[in-house]
Amino acid sequence: MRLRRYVCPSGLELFRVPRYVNAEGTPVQVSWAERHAPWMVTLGESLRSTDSVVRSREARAAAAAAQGLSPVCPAGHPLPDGYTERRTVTLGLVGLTGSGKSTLITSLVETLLRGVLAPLGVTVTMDEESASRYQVDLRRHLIVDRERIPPTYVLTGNDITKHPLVLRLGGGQDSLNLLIYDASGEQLYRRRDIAEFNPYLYHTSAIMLVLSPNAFPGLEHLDDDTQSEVGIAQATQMVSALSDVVRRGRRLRRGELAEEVAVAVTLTKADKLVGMDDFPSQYFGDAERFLLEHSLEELFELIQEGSDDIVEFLKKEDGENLMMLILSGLPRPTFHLVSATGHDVAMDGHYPSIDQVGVVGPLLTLLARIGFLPSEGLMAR
Amino acid sequence: MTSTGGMTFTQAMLHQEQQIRRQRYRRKLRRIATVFFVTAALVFLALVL
Repeated sequence: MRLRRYVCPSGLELFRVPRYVNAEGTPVQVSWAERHAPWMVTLGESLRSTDSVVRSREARAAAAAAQGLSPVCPAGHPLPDGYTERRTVTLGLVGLTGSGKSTLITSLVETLLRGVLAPLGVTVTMDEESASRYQVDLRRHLIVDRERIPPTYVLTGNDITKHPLVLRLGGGQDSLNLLIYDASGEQLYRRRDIAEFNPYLYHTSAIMLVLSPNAFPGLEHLDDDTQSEVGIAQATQMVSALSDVVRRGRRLRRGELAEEVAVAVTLTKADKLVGMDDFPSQYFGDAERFLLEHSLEELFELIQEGSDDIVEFLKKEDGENLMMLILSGLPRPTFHLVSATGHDVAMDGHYPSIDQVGVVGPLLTLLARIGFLPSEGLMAR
Repeated sequence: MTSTGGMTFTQAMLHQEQQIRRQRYRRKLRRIATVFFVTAALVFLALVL
């Protein structure tokens, strides 16, 4: 028997049982057992009926919907339609200010909504409220106007920090709620800041670590964001704090790995590095194009091979310390070369066009690690 | 954290897999030991009382 834990898409708190409100917004009273010991109710139901726990929950959600009740989290935030019928996966993009997290989120969501996962039998839809926020805050700037997304406040983050974008991924037997949120790396410096701004990093299911060329002394001169405060010291501090947070959230000791957490490391703005002699450009490409002729297993094998070369490349660019921290502190990371826009920003502050490269690869790896896609080819050999 | 100094990506990943296997083994041992001691304590209490 597996008890489900939900994550509120508005505040990212964990909860076991949703509450229901009627059309007037008044909470519906539930029994003491349901409020304080939901496992007893679930156990009782599973013993009484031959249905699985999952079906029992779905039946409960359907019965509530038929009575005109809407589910809310214990804090009273409304939940999107059908939210409680799917498992929830939280994906945090962790990176320092200026590393390109917001741009990457925008490019990734845009690519997903264009149906890039359709060849794998996966459909992607977006929650209505998230869709309007995505359109106004992110898409209008980057995709429609082709201009830079305004920078996120260093410490307090922005709307997407506390209110992640909610995507629904459906495919075959499984479907899930994917919550994508932006976790500024500066918030990882002090425990007090983590508790205030990023407590959900303790129980995140997947992490996309976003590193820009600025994090490596050998590549620093290539980054256009010269006044950015991103530097090697901050990047190493962020990775070290991140591995501590992930471990502490699962009550693991020092030296242990949180194997339940999926990790992908992305080197953003990789289009600036293409001209370099030892840049592994054969791994800088689109997963969707590769999948037209190859299987998912072959793609994951290529990602494993590519990770080897990318790590060696980054080590040579004075990133030995950072690479060592990632390889020893984060569980089973894979490395990806990404360009969320495909081009440098022009003199007038606009991009000539938006041609994302490699943004889907990291997500495919993470989806395989959490068991949504087959993970053959991803194991180290 | 474990030492991965000077390792390539593949070597570090193989090292991680070994570490994860050891972790799972230790966790299983801890669980078995807990069940054993709790059962022993209950049996002891039942016999004494």
